[in-house]
Amino acid sequence: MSTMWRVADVVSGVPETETSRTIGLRVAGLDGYLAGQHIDIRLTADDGYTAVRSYSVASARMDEVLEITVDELANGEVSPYLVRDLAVGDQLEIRGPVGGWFVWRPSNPNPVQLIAGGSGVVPLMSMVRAHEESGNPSQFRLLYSLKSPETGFYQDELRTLDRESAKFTVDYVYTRKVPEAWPSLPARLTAETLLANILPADPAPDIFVCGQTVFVETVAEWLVQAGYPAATIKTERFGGTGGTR
Amino acid sequence: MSGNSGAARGSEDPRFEDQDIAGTAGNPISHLDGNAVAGALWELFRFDIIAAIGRCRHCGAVSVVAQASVYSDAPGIVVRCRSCEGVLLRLVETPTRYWLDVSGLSYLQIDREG
Repeated sequence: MSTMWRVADVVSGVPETETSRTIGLRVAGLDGYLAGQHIDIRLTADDGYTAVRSYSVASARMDEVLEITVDELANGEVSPYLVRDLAVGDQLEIRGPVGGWFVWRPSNPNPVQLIAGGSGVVPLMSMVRAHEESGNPSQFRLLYSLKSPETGFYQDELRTLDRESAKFTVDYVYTRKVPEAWPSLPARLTAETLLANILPADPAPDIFVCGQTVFVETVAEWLVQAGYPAATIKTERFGGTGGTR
Repeated sequence: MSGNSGAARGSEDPRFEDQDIAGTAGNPISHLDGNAVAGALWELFRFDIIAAIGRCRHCGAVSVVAQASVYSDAPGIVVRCRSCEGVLLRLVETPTRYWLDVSGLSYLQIDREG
């Protein structure tokens, strides 16, 4: 069988936070992708040992170039290299973009609620960008749960969109440290906070939840208990040191 | 993980501590979902199987493959039914071969446009 792996050129690397970086990859023959998809990256050591990890695409609709945002994991095998060492001009082996289920299509007329835990915001940002670029007038709302203001991805862009876009709103939950003059103390997400900061269950929005497994499963359970139809909730889990992501 | 019971929820729930594992209380083995193996399965099947709908042979649950539980911290990939935890699919890759077991799926419904 022929391989699905191909070579991508690193064309940009911009720090997103102290521990993360957005990396631009030029992929010859890249023919579009759906917002929410991811790529697999394969690193091969000199002795032939390989490690494969998945990273969600953050960008939307760029010709032959896509962007991923990688968060460095303590003791990670792949992410420290991608965040600290990889340089513009380097090449990477990639597979994809893949995954045709956790995706938003510009033809979707439904309102959309996005719920991100930490770096789970990455595929949701691709959806936000695709939605902004499209003529689709549907309402998008993002609830972004993060440790502290310093750990937020895409902060300037999200702030600008929140202010200027008539069809996009972002809300934040800070779990460890809040910004100056924030009206509440840091606290982990609760069902009450969740439900107070998302689109109502009627009319049912399409809901995309992405984060670590515990975050995703807890949020999804709260949503179902609150009457959001299970069929409208799409989830994507990621782990740290596992075989993927 | 701590020994906290799975019933505890809310702002003090230690399961929300940031960790590099995806395990939950009472289930320390990390699991992800079908999205995580989209690439590996695409390489093998050459269509987007995670967007397909599958029926579990063990309990009869019908679900999109993307929502099945995936255990990939292993020599291979194990995909389990989210309803009954029965094994739906196993895949092991060697340098020369794929070993594939789909005996836990009684059917797959695949979108022709996918």
